[in-house]
Parts: sequence; structure tokens; C-alpha cells
Amino acid sequence: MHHGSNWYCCRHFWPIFGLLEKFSCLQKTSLVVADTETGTMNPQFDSIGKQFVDFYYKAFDANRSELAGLYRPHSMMTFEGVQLQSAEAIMQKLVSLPFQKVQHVVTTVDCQPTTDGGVLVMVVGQLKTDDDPPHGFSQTFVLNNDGSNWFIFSDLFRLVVHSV
Amino acid sequence: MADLRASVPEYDKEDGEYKVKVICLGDSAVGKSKLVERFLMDGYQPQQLSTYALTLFRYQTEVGGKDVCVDFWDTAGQERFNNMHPSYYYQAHCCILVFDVTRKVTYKNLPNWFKELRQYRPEIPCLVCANKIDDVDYKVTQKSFNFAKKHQLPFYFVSASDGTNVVKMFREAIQSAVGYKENTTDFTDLVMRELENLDDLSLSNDVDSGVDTAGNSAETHTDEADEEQAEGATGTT
Repeated sequence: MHHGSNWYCCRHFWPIFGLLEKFSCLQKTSLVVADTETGTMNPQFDSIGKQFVDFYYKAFDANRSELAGLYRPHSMMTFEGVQLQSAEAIMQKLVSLPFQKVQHVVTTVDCQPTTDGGVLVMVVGQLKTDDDPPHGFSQTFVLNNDGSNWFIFSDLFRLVVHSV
Repeated sequence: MADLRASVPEYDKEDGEYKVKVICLGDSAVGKSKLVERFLMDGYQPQQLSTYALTLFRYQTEVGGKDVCVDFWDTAGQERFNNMHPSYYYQAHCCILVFDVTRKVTYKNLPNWFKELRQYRPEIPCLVCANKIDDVDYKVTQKSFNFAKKHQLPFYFVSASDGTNVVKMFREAIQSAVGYKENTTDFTDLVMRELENLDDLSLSNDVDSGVDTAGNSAETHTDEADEEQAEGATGTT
């Protein structure tokens, strides 16, 4: 695998990402916007989503087994139509994907706040595995905060491949 | 959708060119692309249909005195993420099933590939290739790989890197593809052929129908054929 990339290991990096987010929130006068119609929305949704995406694909490409810290027992994934639940099942799927090298290049990241303070993230990009030609992909996340750290509650992945 | 589909070749329409479709199947990194590239050698630019995650290699040759245009379809790696889409198998005339002798798991997965192939193309000829024999001791060729024998499929030890048996294997694949197209007894193929014949008849009744008309009506009939197949399938079950 990729030795020397352990700096990006979730165990080190992810809590820092969580802290950064908390600090940046503190600079605002109101941390969250509470409203009867909109629920409790996080005003930092855009930077949270973008920081997450940046971190996620760096970690995925360096050593995807280290993504384990981002999923929880109740996290869900739909990978090419296959539904999985729990960090364990999700990691088993990700680690068993049959390629040695992978590189994600993100084209667009779009974020929206959810009513429970989480963040909805939609990614469009390209990925390249081993010697294959690049493929388009689309991935959607729902990020939630457990009070101290962000984690992935939902993860939906599709290659953008059309039928003929 | 007709415009979107235009980039993908049709194989049952006879528009002057005699075309066959040969598909490559097998796990990632067993050397499917490398084998086709080895066979075609230099000077062939594969066509990347990235929207469909396909690579097409076109090859002009002659079989029994007849000009044949062969399209080799390769998977471009989406099989790492999911199953092949049914359209990969659609209209295929022959399949080259490849495994890597240096990775046992690629041999163990052959039954899965074969099962999926037979689900969509129950009768097309299928060849089995043990690739990368140059990577191991050539004694590997004395080992018996029972999968091919069990299913009575032609079997080749090949090497994309030094060329062993590559031409021989591809020549057989092309001949089988043409042979299949000529003599198919597969129900859906026969339906397609009937529809093509109807198409020819209706064309000959049309006075001075141009090439464009031919293209359009053939397109319409393809859709009808899909319905026909669906009816046929429910009728037989």
C-alpha cells in the first residue's frame, strides 16, 4: 500500500477536522439557525461539506482502510445499488474492491444543510483505477455530528456509466 | 434517445458491411485489453466510449473470402465496481473468456462470468484463455484447467506479452463469430433476422427509398424486435 501517507490517517486527521469546524463556528454569533419550519440548520454547511470531500478522497486514494473511522454502526451505504449497513460491512466492501491504485478527481461539490444540523453533500467527479481509462462517478453523503465529531450517516455511490 | 445511441454500433443491421461483435470477459487485470492489443499490434487506435465505459477495437479481415468487420469489445474496468450491463452482451457473436494463470481467483471466477454470459447469450461460441503463461514456468501448460473441458469450450494457453497462441486464438474467435452469425438457431437472433427480412421487403416496395429511410426504418424495427423478444420470453416460460 502507500506507506508514508499515514499523516492523513483518519485517527489523526478526522478529529482535527472536527475541531476546525467547531472553531470556525465559534467565530459566528449564532452557531445554528433554529426555526420551526427549517429545524436546526448548520450555517457552516458549505465549508463542512467541502472540507469533508477534500479529506475523504485523499484518504480513499492513499489507504481506503483508514476511512473506517468515518462510518458508524448505523451508517448506510448504497454502492452501485447494493445496500450495506454498519461501518464493518461498508469497509469490507470498500477494501475488497479489486484495484491496487485509485485516484479521484473531484469536479463539483454541492452542499445543503439538513434540518437536524447535518450536511447533504453531492459530488461529481472522475476516478481512475490501475491502468483503466477514467470513469465518471457521482457520490452523495449525509454527514451528521455526534456532538464531537462528524461522521457519514449515508453514502450513495454510482459510476456514471450509461447503458447503450 | 436515437441520437445518444448512434455512437454504439449495430450488428444485426446489414448496411453493406458484414459486422461481428466479439466480447472479452473476465476479472479485472487478467489482460483482456493487452490480448486484443497484441493481436492487432500497432496502428490501431481503440475507440473509447467513456459514456458507456467501453473500449472498442475495430479490425477488418477476411473469412472464407468474405470481408468481415470485427469489433472487439473490452470492458474499460467497470467490472471492478459492478456487474456488466446487459447491453455489453447484446448482439455479441462470440466471447473470449480470459483468466490469469498467476492469480487463482481469476480462474475461480470463470463460472460466474460464464453464467452471466449464458443468461444473455445462451448459444454463442465461447473460448477460454489462460493468459500470462510467460509469467510463470511454462510447465503451467501441463496443468489441466477443467473449466473449459467441463463446458466443452476451446481452451488456449496464451501470452499477451510474448504473443504465444494469440493470433491462433483470435482467428478461431473470429471464425466462430462468423459461423454463429451464419448458422444461429438462437430464438432472439432468428426473430431479429426475420424482422430484418421484413424490413428488406418493405424497402423493396418503397419506390426509390434512400439510404436515410433504410436507416430510420431499421431503427424502428430494432425497437419492435425488443418487444417481440420480451413476448417470446414470457411465452416460453
